[in-house]
Amino acid sequence: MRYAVLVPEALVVALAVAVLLAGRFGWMPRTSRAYLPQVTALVVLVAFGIELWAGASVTTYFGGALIQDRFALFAKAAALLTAAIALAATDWAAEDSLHIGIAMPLLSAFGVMVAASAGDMLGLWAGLELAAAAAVVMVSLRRPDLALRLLLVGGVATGLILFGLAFLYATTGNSDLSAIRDVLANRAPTLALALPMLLLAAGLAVRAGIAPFHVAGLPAGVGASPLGAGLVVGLTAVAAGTVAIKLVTALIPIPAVYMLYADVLAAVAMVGGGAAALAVRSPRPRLAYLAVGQLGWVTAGLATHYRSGIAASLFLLGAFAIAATCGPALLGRAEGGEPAIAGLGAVRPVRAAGIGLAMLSLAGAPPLAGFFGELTVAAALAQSGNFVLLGLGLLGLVMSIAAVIGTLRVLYIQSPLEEARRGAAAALPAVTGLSTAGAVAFCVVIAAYGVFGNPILGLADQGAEALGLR
Amino acid sequence: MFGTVVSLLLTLLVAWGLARRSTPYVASYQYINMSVAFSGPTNFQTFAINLVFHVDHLTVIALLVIEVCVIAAIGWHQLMGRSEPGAARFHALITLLLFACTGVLVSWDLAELFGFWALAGALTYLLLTHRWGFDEAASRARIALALPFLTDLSLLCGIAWLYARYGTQNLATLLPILHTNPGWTVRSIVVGSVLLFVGVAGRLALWPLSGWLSMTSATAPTAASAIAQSAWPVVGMVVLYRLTPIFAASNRQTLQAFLVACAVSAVIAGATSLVGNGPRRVITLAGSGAVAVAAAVVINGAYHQPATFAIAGVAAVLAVAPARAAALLAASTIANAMRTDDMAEMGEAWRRMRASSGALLASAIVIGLAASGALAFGVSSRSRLGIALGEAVLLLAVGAIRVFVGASFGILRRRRAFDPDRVREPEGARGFPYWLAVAGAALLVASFLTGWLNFLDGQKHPAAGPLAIALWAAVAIVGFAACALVFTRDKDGALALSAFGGGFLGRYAAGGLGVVDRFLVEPTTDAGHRVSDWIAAGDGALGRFATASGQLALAAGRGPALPIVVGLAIVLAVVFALVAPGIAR
Amino acid sequence: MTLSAITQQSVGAGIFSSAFLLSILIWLPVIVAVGIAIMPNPRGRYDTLIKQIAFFANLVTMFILFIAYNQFENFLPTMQYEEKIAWLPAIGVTYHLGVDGPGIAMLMLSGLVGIASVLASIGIRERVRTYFALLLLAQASVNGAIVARDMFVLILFWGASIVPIALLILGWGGPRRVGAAWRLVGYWGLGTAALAVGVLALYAVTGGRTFDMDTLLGTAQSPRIQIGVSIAMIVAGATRLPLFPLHGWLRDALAEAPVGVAVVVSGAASRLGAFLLLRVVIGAEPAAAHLLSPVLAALAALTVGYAALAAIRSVDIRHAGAYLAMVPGGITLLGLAAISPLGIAGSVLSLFTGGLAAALIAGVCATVAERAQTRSLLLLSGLAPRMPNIAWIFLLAAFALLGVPVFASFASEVMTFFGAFKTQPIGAFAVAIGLAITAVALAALLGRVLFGSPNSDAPGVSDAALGETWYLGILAGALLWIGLFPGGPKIPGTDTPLFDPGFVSQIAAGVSDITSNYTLPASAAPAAQ
Repeated sequence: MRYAVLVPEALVVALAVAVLLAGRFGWMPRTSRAYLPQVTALVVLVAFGIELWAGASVTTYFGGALIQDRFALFAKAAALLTAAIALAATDWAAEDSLHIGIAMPLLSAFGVMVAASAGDMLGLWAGLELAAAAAVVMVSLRRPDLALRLLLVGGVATGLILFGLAFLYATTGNSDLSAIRDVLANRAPTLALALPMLLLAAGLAVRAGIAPFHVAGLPAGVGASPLGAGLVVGLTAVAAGTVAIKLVTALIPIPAVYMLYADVLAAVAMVGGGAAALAVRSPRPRLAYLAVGQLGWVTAGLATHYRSGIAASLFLLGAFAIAATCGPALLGRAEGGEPAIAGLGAVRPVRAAGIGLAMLSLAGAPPLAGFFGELTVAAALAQSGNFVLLGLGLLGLVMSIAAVIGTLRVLYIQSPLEEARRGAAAALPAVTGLSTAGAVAFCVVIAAYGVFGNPILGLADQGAEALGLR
Repeated sequence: MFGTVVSLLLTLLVAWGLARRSTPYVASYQYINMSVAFSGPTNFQTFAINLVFHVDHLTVIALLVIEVCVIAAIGWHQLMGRSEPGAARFHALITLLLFACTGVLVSWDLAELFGFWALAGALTYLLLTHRWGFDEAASRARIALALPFLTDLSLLCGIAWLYARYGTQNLATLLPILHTNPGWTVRSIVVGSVLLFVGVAGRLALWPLSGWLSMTSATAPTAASAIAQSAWPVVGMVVLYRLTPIFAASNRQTLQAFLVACAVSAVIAGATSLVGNGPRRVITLAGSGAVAVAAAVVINGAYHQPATFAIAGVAAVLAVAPARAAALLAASTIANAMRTDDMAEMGEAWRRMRASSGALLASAIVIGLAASGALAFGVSSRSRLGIALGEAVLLLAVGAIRVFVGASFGILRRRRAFDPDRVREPEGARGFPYWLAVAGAALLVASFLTGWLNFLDGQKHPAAGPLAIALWAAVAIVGFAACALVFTRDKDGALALSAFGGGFLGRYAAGGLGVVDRFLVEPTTDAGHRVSDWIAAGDGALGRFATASGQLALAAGRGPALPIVVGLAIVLAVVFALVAPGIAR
Repeated sequence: MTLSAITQQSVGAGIFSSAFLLSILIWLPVIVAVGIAIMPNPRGRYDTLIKQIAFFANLVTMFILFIAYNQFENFLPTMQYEEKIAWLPAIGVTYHLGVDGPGIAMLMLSGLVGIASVLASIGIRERVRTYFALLLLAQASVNGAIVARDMFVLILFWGASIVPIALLILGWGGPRRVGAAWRLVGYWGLGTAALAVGVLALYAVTGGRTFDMDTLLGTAQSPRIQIGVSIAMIVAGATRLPLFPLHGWLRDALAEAPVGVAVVVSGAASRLGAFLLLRVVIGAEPAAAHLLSPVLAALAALTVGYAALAAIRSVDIRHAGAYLAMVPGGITLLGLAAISPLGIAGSVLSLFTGGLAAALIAGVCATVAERAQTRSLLLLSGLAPRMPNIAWIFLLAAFALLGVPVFASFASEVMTFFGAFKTQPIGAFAVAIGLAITAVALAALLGRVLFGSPNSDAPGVSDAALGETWYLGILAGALLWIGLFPGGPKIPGTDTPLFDPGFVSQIAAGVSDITSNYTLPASAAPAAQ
């Protein structure tokens, strides 16, 4: 029974491997392929249920390499729910490969789960790389050039992160996160620690695609298939965020070594993301930049180095994961730019509602998940007296909302293209029972996340507490 | 008409009841009662506006005069104003105006008074702009809303100013504490008095605030103009009279300033009534002069405490009001029949339209002599004020009578599409101005009688000397005679001269207005306009800046990935590491 | 909190007692909006039904509101119909609603404006379903912001109104709708950000335990904090009310928005600005209010004067209407700047009367433009004989704006000026001059548009349709009713109101509490003899 907590991970990995093999060796008859997404989503939902049921127990595995605590529970549950909804809401007609398209989100979610329950640096790095690699695979299916770019930049990011972790290890003589915190408890901040932190911050920022380090992530996300974009913009960034939160909690005794980086990153991401979302018109890049802006808020929460701030970041990260991963999936083919989604509210009302809610949530518009998360972070910023960052964040928020209104206008007020003028780039997403159910589930989660946010925020708070914050 | 007659009968009933008692009827109903604080001065803890109905002799007589004027105007309008559009609207507005005027006259609470006052003002505007669809009527009626509203606001500010210092706006409670309320200052009473005086002067149409009556006298329906010119002086003068204790509580310099203002207004109004050949405008200005003289008498009464003869000024206005209405109606009858509004083209009214011409004569005489009684009672002919007011009476007497002389005598010139032989007085229309003039004459006679003043304010007044009355009446009579003499010798020359004067005055006024427009209205409105555009442009620039700043992020996304990442990492490493707080050693 | 506990709290319960009365006012429109949005409407087949549903939803809301208004206990200084349920305890957010006198005034305003806005939108033909769903959402967000007793909830509803209103302008607005919508989003977004900063500052200085107004506004702060928070709130309020110079959105938004939306924005949504200033700056930050009151008075004077001057120079009747709709906000602000009990009470009444007057003038200008098929004041002339109904309502709107007696705006104007002359005489004089310029602007507008000679070159003109007459009539009628019976209709000689307990009496509840910081020492002016 002790290992029941690992069942979700096992289920996800087994399912991913099975789907990959089935696709590679053609084990599955064509007729039953149509049911593959349903079955996968169902299994992931079961894993999600098991996580909620069994994940409450606090325990460690493999000599502390994996830790199951409230933080892990929150992050893993978020990743599983995100994967399930994304798989359900995806327009599979717009994807390049059914099997890889199903397997990679599972592996990416698995990466997040590993990072979430990692007890040492190795686990963090492995989880992050796994999540990122899955995204690279998805991008490579449609745009090998962008995949290569992503791979190279990802390699640099990995290098930066590894350098940082190595320096950290060298300074503290430990790779175990809780031990690092204990060691640093009576250390003064030094340049020797500040430099690796900078490298770590830069590496994680590149992985998350936060401005100004979005040189690879965003173009790749924009060029990939819908679900691929979801992985690049969403789950990979979630993995990076998870790693960042765990590292920050390990370094909490000497916040001076990372706070300034976090402040600057958050400010640039919040304002830059909002401004870029305002400047760009095509829906998918706009959604990607909105996600950057919201990641800035997550980083701002880390900059507070208080339990309330970390909890707020985690709370927001959950909302971000669902909106940023499922948003592109709901958006479907977006190569056609704005015309592709013009009047979608009339022809595909549920999907259009999902797109609208995803964007509004990423922008932080009330009363959706993102708003609650960002205002929770804002409350933490106010408590820490960081009103400059708060002001910049609110500025970015206003710009983001303005940008979303532009897309909502296209969705609901403009008339749809005539069928004759719709090319493949602007083809309407297919309507299936699963995609409709997925879109509805997404809308419900995004709308209810804050309205019924008490248990979620409570769990996030417990998660922060579990990381040793008081 | 029916409503007016009924209210007249009711007023008579009240008058009959009041005639048997010396104390006024007082009734009070609560309009607003709001608790606004539970600490601090008790009179500021609750705000209440009570509809206090205070009916005394003065109220009833003033109301009777207004009702008589209104009935006559409506009667005249039903015959002569058949072609006017919106009869129902017209009558409804007049009935409401009568109601509002009644409200002002019976009000003892200043907030209530202002309420009825402003309501009457709004209705007056609607009456004066009654002719929908005519550009000139519409453009001239604008001033009938804007100018008096400004002075009405002054009245509101005055009342508010006093309330803010005394915590009450009820005359019954305010007057006794004007000089006893802790913290009272002469300055505060002076400011309040000036605001109240300006507020009342606007509706009394004292020059230079008479434009809203003089400019609309020819473009508004005559009956509406007649009602406005008869009702407002009565209402305004009664209010002015009731506010004199507040003025008297200020200081002598303030009262002197008011006297100078009234005297100047009277003289200039009288003088401007001598130029221009529009009969209705001339009558309006002459009437305005007479009202200004009466106002001076009222203020002078406050200046010489006790304010014994202030009521004489009110009595004078009670006579002026019907005479002014009668003159307007008669002049309009004549102008309509002769199809011209230029006295230079009028004539023979005495032969062809005897009743109207006679009414015009009677009303002109009343307007000229109206102030004589008041002046005899209240102003010394030896004082500088007396000399100024005498001059004003002389001028307005000339102005009033010249309309009669100009329209009644001389040749009625034949013009294209006009047949003088057809000029006859419409049956029935002749009576109303005539009887109004008679009523004015009766009130004029009464204004010489001490008993009348005693009845109006319930105080005992010593009789005026017959010599003083004769002297002041002589001033007006000299004016009548001089005008008659000039017109009998050379009517055309006199009218040409007044036309030239009118043209000159018109050009001068237009020039003045042009200067105001050029140097005040234009710059200020232009500033507002420019600010609007500037703010809009500023918003646009900000929006574009936000979008442009977004372009930077977009450009960064398109940049060469590896060099940027490596370069950024190195630069950030050096910079942040060195500036990070608590790290640099 | 259990239902029974809430019920016990619900002061004001009478024949109709619901523990969630205020929630109904917020969520009923939301539910109907969602219902309308998902309702199938092939080729506009059910357009009329959708309009009817929206109208009756507003009617039901108004009915519930009227019951709440009737059962409101005007002698209680406390909040009434309170609902308090823990929401996000981790950061101290509670779903806390409640109303006092000013709140009930705002709710009545919102209810009336809601009905008027639906009636004004009867002519909508395109995307009816989306339009009415968004309109109801906008109304719900306004109601929510009015009754919020938790600052987090206030920010939520305050910000939530931006998206639907911007979309309504973008989707159904006039030719310059895009710029208008972006301006609205920009200014209102800036205001929301300022509100959030102010609220979070209060949250931080009170220990970061709760967003509840009872704590945030009930805790005494140092003058420095009070001034900082107040400045943020003034910025937030000034972008909504709006006040010069943060009014940039107003002209285009009111001029380009569809009539129904213009009515909601000018009538209810914009009054939230003054309501916020009353609640936070005047109600909770007395030191800052004393210090900043001259600034508020100056803003009031600038707003009224500027609006009047800009209206005089407008060549577009909807621009003129938009500028004129700024005037009541200035008067409300003057009452607040007076920081005297009567001035504040006047501004509370002015919240209601100003909202109706602003909605009326903006609505009637928009309706004239629609019925005359042009907005250009160079073409509009002599309409009164051809559209008598609208002409009369236009006149009523002008008089209501100027505060002519028999309109409720008269009472609020009198109270505001009476209260302001003690503490802000210069500001009061300046506002009075601004009102006089407003009269000039209105005189010019009425003279040109209604009473001049008809313009033969102008497009065809028609009088108001039934819906238009009704929506304008409701706004004017409410102003007349309260103007005639501010204390409620009473049998002569008695003090018992018949069916309306008296608007002025009802909104007085809680005003004394707000004004308690601004009363003079009793020795300053003893009672009149």
